[in-house]
Amino acid sequence: MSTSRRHFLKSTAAAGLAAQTLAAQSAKPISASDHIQIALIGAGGMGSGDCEASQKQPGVKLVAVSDCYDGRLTRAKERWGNDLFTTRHFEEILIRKDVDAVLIATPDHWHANIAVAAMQAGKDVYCQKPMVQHVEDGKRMVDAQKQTGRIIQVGSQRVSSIVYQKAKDLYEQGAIGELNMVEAWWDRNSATGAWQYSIPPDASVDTIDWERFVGPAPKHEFDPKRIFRWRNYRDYGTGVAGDLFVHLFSGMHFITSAIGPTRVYAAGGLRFWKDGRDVPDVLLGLYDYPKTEHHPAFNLALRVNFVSGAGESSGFRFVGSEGIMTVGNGVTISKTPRETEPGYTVETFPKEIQKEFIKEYREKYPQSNPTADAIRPTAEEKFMPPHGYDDEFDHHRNFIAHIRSRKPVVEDAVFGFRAAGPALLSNMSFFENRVCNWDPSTMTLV
Amino acid sequence: MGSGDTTSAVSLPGVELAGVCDLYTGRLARAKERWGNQIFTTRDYREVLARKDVDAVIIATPDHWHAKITQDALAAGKDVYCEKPMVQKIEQGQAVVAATKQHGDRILQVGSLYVSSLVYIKARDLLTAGAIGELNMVEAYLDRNSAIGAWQYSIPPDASEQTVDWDRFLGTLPKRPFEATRFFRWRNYEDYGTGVAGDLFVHLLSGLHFATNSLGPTRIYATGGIRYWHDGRDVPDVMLALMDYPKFTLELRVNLKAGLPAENFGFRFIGTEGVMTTSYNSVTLAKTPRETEPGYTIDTFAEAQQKEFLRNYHRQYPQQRPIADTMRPESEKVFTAPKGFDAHLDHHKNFFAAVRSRKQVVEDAVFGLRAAGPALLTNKSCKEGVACNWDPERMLS
Repeated sequence: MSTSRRHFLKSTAAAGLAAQTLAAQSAKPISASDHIQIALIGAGGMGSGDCEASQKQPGVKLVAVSDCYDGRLTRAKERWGNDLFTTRHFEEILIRKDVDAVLIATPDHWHANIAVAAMQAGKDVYCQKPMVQHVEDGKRMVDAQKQTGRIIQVGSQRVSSIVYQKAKDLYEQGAIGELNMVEAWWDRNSATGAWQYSIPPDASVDTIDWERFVGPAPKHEFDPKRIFRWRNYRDYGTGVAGDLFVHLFSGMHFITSAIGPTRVYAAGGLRFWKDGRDVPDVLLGLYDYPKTEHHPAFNLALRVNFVSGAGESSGFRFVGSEGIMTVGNGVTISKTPRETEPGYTVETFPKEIQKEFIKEYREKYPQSNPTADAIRPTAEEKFMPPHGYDDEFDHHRNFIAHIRSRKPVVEDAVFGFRAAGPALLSNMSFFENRVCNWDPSTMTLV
Repeated sequence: MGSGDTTSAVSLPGVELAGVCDLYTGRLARAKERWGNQIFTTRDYREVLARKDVDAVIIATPDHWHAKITQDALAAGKDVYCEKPMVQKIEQGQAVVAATKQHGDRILQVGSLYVSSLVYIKARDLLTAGAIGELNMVEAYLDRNSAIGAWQYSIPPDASEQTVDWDRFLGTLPKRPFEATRFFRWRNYEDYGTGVAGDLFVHLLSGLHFATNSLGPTRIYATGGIRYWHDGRDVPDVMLALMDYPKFTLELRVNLKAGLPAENFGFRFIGTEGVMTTSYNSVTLAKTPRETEPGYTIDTFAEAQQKEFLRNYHRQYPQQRPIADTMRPESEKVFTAPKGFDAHLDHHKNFFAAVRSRKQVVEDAVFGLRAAGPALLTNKSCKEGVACNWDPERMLS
């Protein structure tokens, strides 16, 4: 058993657990006095959340914020103090000597350029998922991490969650026997869940640096919807695959130690939120995972439905030969022991032959008198994290810890690319009507 | 399946069993034990078709014999109840459809009982009435977890070349030495069966097409593998498929080692205003009305802008003091079929009613091919790693 798993046998108290997780992942004791200065690039919903979680860590100070909409810079000062340096230009942040690390929470089409530039400028990077908007950019990020030796952690917080660590422990202990299938889903049913984010009343070319926002994407005339609801457009976002499938891949890869599928297919459509978006609001994907030293061959099915006819729900079902593990807010194991005998279907045989069959069958599987001990244990065990548990906090805790220890993070550029790759191929499959083949080891299209 | 079909059929008024054909002599002996010594038995189905006292036949052979015997039976003037899938090979479908017309409008009903099930009639009525708004997705699944569920049927102790007509079983397939497992567990081999696709997907597709009035999907993709039942079979025991219907996406799942204590079968129909789930004997309707206002995400705007935003927002969506009437009706209704309900028997009732009335059945050859076609394409997709196109109107791949 690895050291990162041993702690679960000791304690279930939140603080104790978290401290031990940290200790297990970092060689030297953590000193909160090691001061770390961070900057935020992209101060929207996710960026602001990341910023809050990061500033909760001891010894972390936010010094600068960049955004293309002035209102967000004003808001940053309102929230985090007037002494913040704010700018529309992320380059002005990267040249600052007082910034140790940057949180990148821009629209997807800017991730790779900014992250690579930040690493080259000597900054550690926390980059929102998906790590890249285009498969072709993945290698650039992986190479930059290698060449610069910077810490880069991608923002799928599940990878740092004690819930997923528990699921990983149970999976590795063989709690469900041999894995044969995984289903994961994210259902939503609201306007804001479907990315109809609010547009500020003062949105205009005066308050927004439109050219800068468009950046590497195709030129387009100003349209406030395209900046404030950028997830709805392929020019800037990656649809449900990059927003949500990537979380599901990250969580699943972490639990099973899988590195990715070899084959990807996706289907769906734009069914309800016909607000000008060019991405589907219902998307389903099927993925082939070949056998590796960590897991048998299995199939993955992913689903995102933004018109779910119910409330929001997200989770995983890991199906194995001896039970099912569901992962959501907690982990549930339902065990079904294998049959003790196969049973028979003899009613179409002549009576004599039936008798002969059953005689032989009973020689092989003797009929035992049922005893209390023969009652088969079908158990459902539920593991819940402590009340108020926050995996986003833990994910930022890990990031900050690794900035200090300089040890490799779990969700680094390679992990991030192995989650983003199949997610982006889901889009490619959907939009190009084809099956996509992927080599998860080299992270290349086949 | 054949014995089950026969038991249902002979329980109906005015239906008499006249003959039985099987390639294992034990089954012929058993037929006489069960249904009387007077019945005619043979290993040669043509002898059954030649009999003037036979009005209709139940065809429950392995899949690779379906099309040939069905066509011969129709040509001999018999009405046909044919087990699903109607054909083993997609190319055989059009000929079977044509045969039902060539021979004086014979009745052909395919054996997917959901088409006659009260549960799926109820589901169809609810969908048509808009109970869940506009449909956008359907999940259909059949999970099993037992040896018998995974087609490890029993092999009689006297199975041999003397008691089994092996050559006739093989039919037009290349000759190979006798193997009792291949005969009694034929579903495990693509030579004779159609795997998960033809045994189970076809049921799900029949139920779906009936409940949604769909002709079929335009694109089909499937994947899977042999994950657990490594008993020499050459067909997957886990299979997943995605199909594009004009207005919704279908996901199919069959897992023969599903980690569950019991078989789990059903559909989830997802609509804009709710979710309808079905099982063997019930329909559950859970409604969630759409939002009355879209909500907002303004915490990253400057305070002054937040205030202005909220003013505008509440002008458009006035803030109201909640009153009892604004409580949103969320309901979950369960419709359960009456006690003693038997979809299998109802399906046979429909068949014999059509034999008498000469009015066509719902699950005729066209319906049967529209279910079998996409199901069989999942096998092709899974094997070749490609997505397959299908024209559901013309039934061409």
